[in-house]
Amino acid sequence: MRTHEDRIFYYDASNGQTYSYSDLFKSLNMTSYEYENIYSNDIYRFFNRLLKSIILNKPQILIDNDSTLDPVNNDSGKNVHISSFDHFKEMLENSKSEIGLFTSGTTKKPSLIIHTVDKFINNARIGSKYSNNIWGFSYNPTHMAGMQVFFQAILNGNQIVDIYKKSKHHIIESLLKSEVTHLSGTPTFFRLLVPMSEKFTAVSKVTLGGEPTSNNLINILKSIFPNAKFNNIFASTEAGTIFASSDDTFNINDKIEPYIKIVNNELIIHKSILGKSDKIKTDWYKTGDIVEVICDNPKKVKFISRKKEVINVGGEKVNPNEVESIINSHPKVSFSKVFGKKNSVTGFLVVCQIKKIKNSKLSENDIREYLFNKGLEHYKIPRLINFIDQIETTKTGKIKR
Amino acid sequence: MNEKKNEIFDLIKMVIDKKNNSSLNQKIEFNADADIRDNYGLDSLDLAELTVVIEDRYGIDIFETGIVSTINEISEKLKE
Repeated sequence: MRTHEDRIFYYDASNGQTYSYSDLFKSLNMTSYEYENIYSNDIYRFFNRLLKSIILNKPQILIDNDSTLDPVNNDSGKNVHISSFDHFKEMLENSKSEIGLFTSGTTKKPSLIIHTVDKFINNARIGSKYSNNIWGFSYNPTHMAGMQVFFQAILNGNQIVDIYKKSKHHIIESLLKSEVTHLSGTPTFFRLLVPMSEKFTAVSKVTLGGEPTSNNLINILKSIFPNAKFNNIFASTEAGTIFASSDDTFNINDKIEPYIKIVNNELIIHKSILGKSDKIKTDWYKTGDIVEVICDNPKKVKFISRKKEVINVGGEKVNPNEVESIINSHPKVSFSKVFGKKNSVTGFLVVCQIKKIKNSKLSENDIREYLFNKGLEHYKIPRLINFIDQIETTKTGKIKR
Repeated sequence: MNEKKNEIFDLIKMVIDKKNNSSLNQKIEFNADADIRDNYGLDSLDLAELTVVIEDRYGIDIFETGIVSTINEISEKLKE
């Protein structure tokens, strides 16, 4: 039986890079360099630098390539001495370090939120039943979702298979070759993968998060991952994971209820469960997430949209996620992005970009008629439709608005 | 000048055609002086769409400084 140290820690199918846990410990033990403000061009190196600061109880800030912060490194002369996987795990669990994450900036300027390492440790599920998990890592490692997967994987000595920003071909190869068991990503990540003829029978858990997801997408994924349980996560950089469910609704359980308020359909969270940040000024923090209360007992909500995403068409409010969901249900549509176009008559007008399924014929009229027949109100039907090849996504794998 | 008015008229026809899914074979007549809302049955969404396509084509927001009602007025705005 393989010891923990011999197991693979990191694997990248696009270049064959493979590192075991003992490789990781060796490289950590060898260097006396310390790094501040780390970014993720080379993910294995990024993990190395992050782990070093965690073990040395130093704070760390995770940045993206376009950050105004500069990466810093210096030869501090401080070395770590990891003797075994258990020793390594213990050092992580005892770490007093803090990690600074920038919000994804989907609808506003990114701000820095600081979380203690033990918050990530406490959120992870550790135990022998998790020891054989193999993770498909699609998230940006410098943001919340990536960090959560990272800690979950490393505390259990799991393998991380790098599929971040890889081509569809490499992702498929990785999933098959490594027999990935756990796959996490944004709904946009998954939508860009489908349609797919391959089936991945080794995947036992699929987790979606970061954007509203539709049951339609979950159903498509169920046929691609026939043995998987589905998990839909409602999380934010400020709070970490708040709720999880197996479909597009979320239960607010007793544990979390005291910290949650819903005012004017906006989700409001008490600061005691949030990370530290300059922008969290009051006791109750407005998340800017609009939800619909489906049920009061037990309390169940559905995530509708980000407040700022709402398109105001002459006073009528349009949720772009809702319109996208219906457009995406058209068999010839691969992907869509709905947004508002400014004008002096109605304020905004609903317009969209659509990526067709390869080699299919689809016209603007086809889409409009389809939406009309689905009962979509006239002011929600996009007035301008652009067929395009690529849709822009953000650093955290969400649709760029 | 007349060419521009015809272009504007074409854009109006396009907005109406899209709205009706080209299924109504309506004969729409060119009338540079009539109120486009009354004459062509344009609602606010149609007008919004029209301003957007005109702005995309000519770089000018015709409703920026107030309502324009006829093809003549739109054409004047585009000259500025």
